[in-house]
Amino acid sequence: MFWALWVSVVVHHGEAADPKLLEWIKNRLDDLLGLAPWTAVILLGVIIIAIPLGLMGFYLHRQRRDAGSDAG
Amino acid sequence: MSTSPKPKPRVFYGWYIVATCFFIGFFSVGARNAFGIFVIPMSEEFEWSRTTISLAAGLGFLVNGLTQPFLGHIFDKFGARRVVLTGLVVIGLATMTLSFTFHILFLIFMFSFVLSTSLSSASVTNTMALVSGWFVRRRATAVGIASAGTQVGGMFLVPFAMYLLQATGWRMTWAVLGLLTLTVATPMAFLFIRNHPAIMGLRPDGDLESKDGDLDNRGERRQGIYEVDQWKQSFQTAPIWQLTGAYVVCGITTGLISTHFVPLAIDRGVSPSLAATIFGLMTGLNALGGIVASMLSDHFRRKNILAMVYLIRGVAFMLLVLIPGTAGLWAFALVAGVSWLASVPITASLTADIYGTRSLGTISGVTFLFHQVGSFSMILLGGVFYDITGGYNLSFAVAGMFLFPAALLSFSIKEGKYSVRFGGTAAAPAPAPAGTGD
Repeated sequence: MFWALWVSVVVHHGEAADPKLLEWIKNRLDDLLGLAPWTAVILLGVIIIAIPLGLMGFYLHRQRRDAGSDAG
Repeated sequence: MSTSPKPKPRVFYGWYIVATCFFIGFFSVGARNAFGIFVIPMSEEFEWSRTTISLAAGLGFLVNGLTQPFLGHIFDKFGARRVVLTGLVVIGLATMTLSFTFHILFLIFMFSFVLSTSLSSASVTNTMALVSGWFVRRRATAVGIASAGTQVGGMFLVPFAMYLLQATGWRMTWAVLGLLTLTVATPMAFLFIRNHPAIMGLRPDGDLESKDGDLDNRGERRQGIYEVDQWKQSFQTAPIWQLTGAYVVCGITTGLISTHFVPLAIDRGVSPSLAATIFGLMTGLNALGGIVASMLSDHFRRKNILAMVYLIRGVAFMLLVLIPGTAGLWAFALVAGVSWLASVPITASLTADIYGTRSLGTISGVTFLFHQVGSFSMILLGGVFYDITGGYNLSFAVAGMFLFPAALLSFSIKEGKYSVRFGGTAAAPAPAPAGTGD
């Protein structure tokens, strides 16, 4: 019974993140940005890692500066 | 007891914890949400049916829900730093290992069991518990921002993965997603995560001293009358059942929206692209609605804001059922969008206010399990109702009807009596906090 219900759902409604929906989003992004795949990868990659790396850098810099002023 | 406080820093360290938890959700859950983009290329290469590969995704969500209480308990016992860091390393390695997929059983084992279990250790449920220990007055705001990382991660990481897949293929994409968790989220967690403020000689919210000078050894001001050391004690009291009951309804309705909304829209004659746009608007409003509602709940009684969130969502469901065609879909997206995820940080914060933070990982894990059971049941029922009636209106009507009792249940919580924000007793000497080892 459970298996039948499960299969019924996945057959009817597909994945948690619908691949057709994702494909449509990508097509819209292509239309909007008109970027080559590698350009988009680099652009999005920089956006994705810039803030966390920047935050770590900021914190470490401040820590070093505070340590320096304490020693001085 | 608590160490003497340091001079107040310009940026309270708790906000670094919030940022770290935001990016943990961003990278870990974001990668899982990208699963959909692998469905077509992997199905084509291995000649799997959609049902077969969907089984891996569905089982993953189930395993994630079932393992959460256990990982929450381990979180309470060993502290956030060890559990979250270990989880992130396993998430990164498991995601990278998916690039070696050669058989459906490998995918099910690695994605549905290894990855989904490790996601429970670095889950929003656990990171919300961590953040709750760092804030009292601004608890919901901090928890709301930290939990929004999963939504924002989906917005950036999924398009990134789509382009990467187009440029390199699915194997390299899995490897890069895993590498991002290992090289960005894990070092960030290693650098910033501290189990609680007392470890750094700080107090929650960055206060220099307590207004009433009444602190326990975690640096918290007061102790609620229901504050517990063992998670089971909380389930012998009324508020947790009120919160959990409403949270089940949250699961019922969010599960239905995330799985059946787009098919419902298409059933109403809307094109798939417009259905996706309406769904996109709704998901876009999620993070915003969650943060705004959380901020409001730091200024007003949380139970009132929580009741309002359920009430608004109930109205959205009624609008969807009563207004035919596209207008009903747009009305639903606008109203439901702001309330879709707002219940999560407020429920977590109210739980922390009432039961304290010593067993919060386990308590939140158990309530999350109930949430997932509600979600899973309604996803199944949605399919069954569709088969019986040939449409989705009955599912949305039934789910929507539950939201009004959920609002009432939330409203009836005696927050003024049980929450440490409004009442509470002088803190008794508390047992040594879990995971003091840093």
